[in-house]
Amino acid sequence: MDYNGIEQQLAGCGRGGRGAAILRALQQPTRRPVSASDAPEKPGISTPAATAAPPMSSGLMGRGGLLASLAASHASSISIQQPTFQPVAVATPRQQQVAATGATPMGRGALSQAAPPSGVGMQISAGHQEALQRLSSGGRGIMLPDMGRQSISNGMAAPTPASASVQKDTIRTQVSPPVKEMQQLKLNEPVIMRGNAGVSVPVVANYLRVGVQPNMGLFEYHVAFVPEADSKNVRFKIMRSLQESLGEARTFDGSKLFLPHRLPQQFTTYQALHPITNEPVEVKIKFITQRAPGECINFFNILLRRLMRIMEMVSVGRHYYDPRNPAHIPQHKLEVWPGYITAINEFEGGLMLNTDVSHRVLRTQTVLEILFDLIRRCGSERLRDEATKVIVGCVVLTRYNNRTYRVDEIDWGKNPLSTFVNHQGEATSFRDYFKMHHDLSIQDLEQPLLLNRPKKRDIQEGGTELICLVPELCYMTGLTDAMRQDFRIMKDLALHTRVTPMQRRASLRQFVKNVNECTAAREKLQQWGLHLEGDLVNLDGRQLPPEDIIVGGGGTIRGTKECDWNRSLVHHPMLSVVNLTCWSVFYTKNDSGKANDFVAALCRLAPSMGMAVAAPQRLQLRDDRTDTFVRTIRENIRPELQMVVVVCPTARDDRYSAIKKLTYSEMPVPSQVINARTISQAGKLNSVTQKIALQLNCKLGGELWAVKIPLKDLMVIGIDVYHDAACKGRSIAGFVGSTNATITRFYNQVAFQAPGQELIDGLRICLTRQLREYSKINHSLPSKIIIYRDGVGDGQLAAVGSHEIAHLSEAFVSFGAYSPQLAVIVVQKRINTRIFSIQNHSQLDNPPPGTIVDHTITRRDWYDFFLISQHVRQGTVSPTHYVVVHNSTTLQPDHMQKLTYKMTYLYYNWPGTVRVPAPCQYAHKLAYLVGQHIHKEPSEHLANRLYYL
Amino acid sequence: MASSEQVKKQLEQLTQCTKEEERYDGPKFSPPLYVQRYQQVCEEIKGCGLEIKQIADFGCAECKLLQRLKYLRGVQRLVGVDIDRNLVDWNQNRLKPILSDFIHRRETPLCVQLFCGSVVEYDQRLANMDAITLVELIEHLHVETLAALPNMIFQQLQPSLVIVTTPNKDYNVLFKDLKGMRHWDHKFEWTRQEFQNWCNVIAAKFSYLVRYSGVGDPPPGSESVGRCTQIAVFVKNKQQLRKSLMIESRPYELIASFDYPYEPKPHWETQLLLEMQYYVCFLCKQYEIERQQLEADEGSGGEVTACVKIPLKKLLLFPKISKHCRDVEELRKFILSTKQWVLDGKGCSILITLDTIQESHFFDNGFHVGNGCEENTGTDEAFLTSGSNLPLPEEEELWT
Repeated sequence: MDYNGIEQQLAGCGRGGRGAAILRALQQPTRRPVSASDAPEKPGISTPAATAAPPMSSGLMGRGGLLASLAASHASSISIQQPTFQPVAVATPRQQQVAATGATPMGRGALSQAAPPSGVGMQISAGHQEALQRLSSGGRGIMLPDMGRQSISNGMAAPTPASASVQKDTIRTQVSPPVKEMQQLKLNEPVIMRGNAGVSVPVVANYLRVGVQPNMGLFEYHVAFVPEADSKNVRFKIMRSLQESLGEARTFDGSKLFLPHRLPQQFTTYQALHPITNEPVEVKIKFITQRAPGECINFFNILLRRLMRIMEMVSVGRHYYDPRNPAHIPQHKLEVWPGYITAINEFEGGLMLNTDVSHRVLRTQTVLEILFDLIRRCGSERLRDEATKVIVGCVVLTRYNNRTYRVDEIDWGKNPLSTFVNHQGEATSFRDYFKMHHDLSIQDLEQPLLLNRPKKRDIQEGGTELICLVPELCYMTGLTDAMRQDFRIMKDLALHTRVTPMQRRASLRQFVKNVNECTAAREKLQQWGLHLEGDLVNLDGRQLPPEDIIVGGGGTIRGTKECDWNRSLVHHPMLSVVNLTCWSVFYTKNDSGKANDFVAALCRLAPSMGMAVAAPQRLQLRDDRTDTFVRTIRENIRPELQMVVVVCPTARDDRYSAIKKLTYSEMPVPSQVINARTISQAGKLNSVTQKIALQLNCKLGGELWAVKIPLKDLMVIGIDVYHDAACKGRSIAGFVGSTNATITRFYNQVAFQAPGQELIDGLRICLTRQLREYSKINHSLPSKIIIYRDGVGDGQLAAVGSHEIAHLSEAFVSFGAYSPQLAVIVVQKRINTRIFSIQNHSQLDNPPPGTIVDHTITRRDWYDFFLISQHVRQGTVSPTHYVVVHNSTTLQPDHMQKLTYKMTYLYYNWPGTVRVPAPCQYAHKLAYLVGQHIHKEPSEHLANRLYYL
Repeated sequence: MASSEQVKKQLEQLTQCTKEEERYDGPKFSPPLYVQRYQQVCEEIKGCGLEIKQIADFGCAECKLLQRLKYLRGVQRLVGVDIDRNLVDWNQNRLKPILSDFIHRRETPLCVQLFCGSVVEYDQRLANMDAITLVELIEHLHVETLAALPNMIFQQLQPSLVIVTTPNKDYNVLFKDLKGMRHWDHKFEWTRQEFQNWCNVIAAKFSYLVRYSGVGDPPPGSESVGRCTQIAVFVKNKQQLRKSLMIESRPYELIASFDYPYEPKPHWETQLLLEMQYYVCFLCKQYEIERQQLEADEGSGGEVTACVKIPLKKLLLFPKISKHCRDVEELRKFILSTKQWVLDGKGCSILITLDTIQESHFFDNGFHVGNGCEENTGTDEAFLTSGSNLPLPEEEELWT
């Protein structure tokens, strides 16, 4: 009951007391069991008001209520006969957090009536000075359901993100839980949040139902040996000798035994022989419980990996690939292995296998070969720089032990003759070590060594702190960013990796066929009462109608199926325009012709787009050195200058970084860097210039187009995080929030995360500034805030859903009595879900933009949906997964989905819909620019325009 | 009943039968003796001067020797035999082809097989072995088995090379806490004299030449006890031809069999063509960045085309190209024969026009909108660093 106790005590901590209470709870992970004196406070957790709230209230309320009632029905010690809103007085100072619990029903109950009275809240926290100070009247109720969840996940450190499954964990961690309660858990209802707008369309998803044979399941037993057997090996051997009685299918970890069937008795004793002494041993097996399928996900996935091995697939990283049919791309020294991504999970529609075709890119060169090639290409004096670029951060595969390491550094001071101290405490050279232990002779004795710093976790488990690798024995793997940006490579790769929906289905069907036709694999599944259904699931999806695009001059572009208004755009003026009256163009002598052509084209074309362009100041540079560029630009920046346009002879990163650093941080002025080659072709100049004109307008603070946003007083925020590839230990978050009703103007900020610091601190400051900016422009604060948060993995969902939100809402405090409706939606784009639309004759195609699936394959315990917003011409479209981790708005699922879809229209660097809501895409772009090039905070003066496009 | 302490020790001995010398209080070996032993066996095989394609290891136990032998040049078949079925079964994964075996395929085939069986039973599947190793095996054999062994190995199987290792009893005096023999399952341990007597008789009887070596040098001052492990290397007299036995006999149980992926080397012209394609691409990137553009000598219709010029000399810097073409002249001939590239007027450089280069560095700011379909080249971050979004040609690239 330990955790239940914490959970309840924290369940509804008010904003003020929350931080302190959680901290305290975390600091004492093992609390004493809930004492009798705590019992009267228990009603706090149950929230009849919430469950009784109108069914149309927000999704979270429903869940909160559900959670509460589940908690109530499972934790037998909780009595809910008398739902009371009366706060419990603070008993002792030690129990201040418990006191906050008393506030819970108040806040929650009141929530359903929208505005919780503040009086009670004040009274409760009265004993808590800190809470009192931070408390803003009325605001706290809204947060409360989530506080509950937060405390659960923090207290438990539960890996499963959802409230309901957390509930399961809670029960599971109890000491010997009664079997009855366990079985009740299976009845937890999945979270179902469905919309019904749009047209119903039949779709297929890459999920396979996993059938569970009735009467079979995962039965847990405890095993004891008499006399005791110390060695695990001996225990395994004894258990193996009982195969006839127990059956072939079992997993045993030394004391816990899982069988696919129930033994007839609660206690069973077997006789066996000790494998070494041949003495008789008694094996006592006690039945513990039957696990619900949802609790066996890990086990199922291990089983699945075994199947893959049976089918002779080779694991590379996390997935399995077929090494026997690689596609060779010798001109790039690459190989592509086909394989499958597989994961069994319990979804809204039950137990299913999510499977997708995957390709693994492998390289056929050693690191040493790459080093030599680099020397020959750029000379040995530049080798170090080039090698660092190409090799550091790459993952290499060693040829002797089949392991992969990330290269964190190249140690130029070492070579294979350098020595290290082996585990016997003696110094050995790398050459001798590999000769002796692997019979590998290192040929090149002058090569540097590669360094890998193992993760903290590995060091704790007894690994060394630094691993040296010999380039000659390491093969490169994967693609580098440079390769990814190389069109030739990507084009050649795409030949093998780009798969149409039809091909994808065929290959997934083949996979199922392989499993079901492979006797060993099928039997392995059957032993555990499982089988794979033959075909991918069919579903009902919905398609939202395309949006009309509002442009300048009162014009509208009718929405099309492809959601692409590239062609129509240039025939309309931009939505709002900032005229270009004072600007400079910088170019080298070589590019002067191109620069002049460009300026002429811009002056000619921009007026039809609604933009007046004055003649620029033209500045020809002496040479193309980076510091010439920087110096000349710096000398010519004047306060009235609106825009710096730089024509660069080549796309060199260092020059680009220097220019951006100068213009965005040191001397803030919007800048536009143009690669000379882009404007070198006369045939393309017009269309290129039009696009640059659009971009210039954005950077000046203009708007290009809009869609209809039916919500009033709405603020939409996008957050994305850039992780420094060079692994400097700090991340950069882009924080982009809207400042007008049409969501077309944005305030753009970044938050730096120093090592050891939590990202959320920076985000809270950003939110405060964002609100301040909003109120400065609108003379009011938004009543609804929607935050789209990118860059969150599955494992962090619960943390974002509670911890982050709690921190973020602290930003509201500084605005007095302000408590907006808040929704936080996690945006996941790297997912393995694929959705295909069914055409005539069971042909499959990519679903058009606006297709939504919000049931069956969605998470069982989250409010989530899949949306395909972008149009693709080749390959298979990848849907984006949206998880509403927090919602105190009154928006229906339909509204949430529609709003999200509308947001994908507003990315001004693309005249079509994009994969994620525009604020997220902006945040990504901003964080990337800062992380990759600027490395410090951009000037505040630019924050109200899209200068980073 | 045995105490759990004893059982533990026995179990340890069971599972660590290769490391017995490391357990005693006495000279320590670095690297461990068993590693030195395996390495010495490898060296003996490499240095024997015979063509060794098939090797059998009797008493393969943990399969660690076989694991090393698979990297031996020219080996095409490895066979491990052990009487303990479980031991071999548990350790068979050591011999499975690993990732790098698949990526960097051998030029010749390799088949690794594991059998459960006795060293004194004839199995026809071992009839054509070129080398047989008996590493720390004979001392585990009962008298009658040991007596039958020479005939089996040297008469029936008759490989060109036999390597036998066994503990040197003379050395045992240096292990202070050693009572009896080094391992509980040893039936005997021989002095150097005893071992050499046994070997000499065999060599004479079956017409082999034998020489002795060892690993595990004694500490200074104790040189007289010899090395810790003694090794005998038997080489068959060349005059004697193998008499093939025509016995149908397959008493061994096959436990595992692994076929290693292999790929014969392609014809040199194919190789060179692929290397050329790679290095031309590779060099282009550099030239693009440094922008050593030239105006083509004769552009079509007088229009100026930007080109990258790749000197043949530069290509010859790469050994994978120069090993097929000694000089510029040869390379030029080859390039002309492929018709894949255009040479400049003097025939000294390859000309790549920018159109064929494709606009790989088109953007000023490197990032491309993730509008495209995701190319599922894998999702594992460890392998593919950040971002799986691909630029789509001719789409966002226009959005400078």
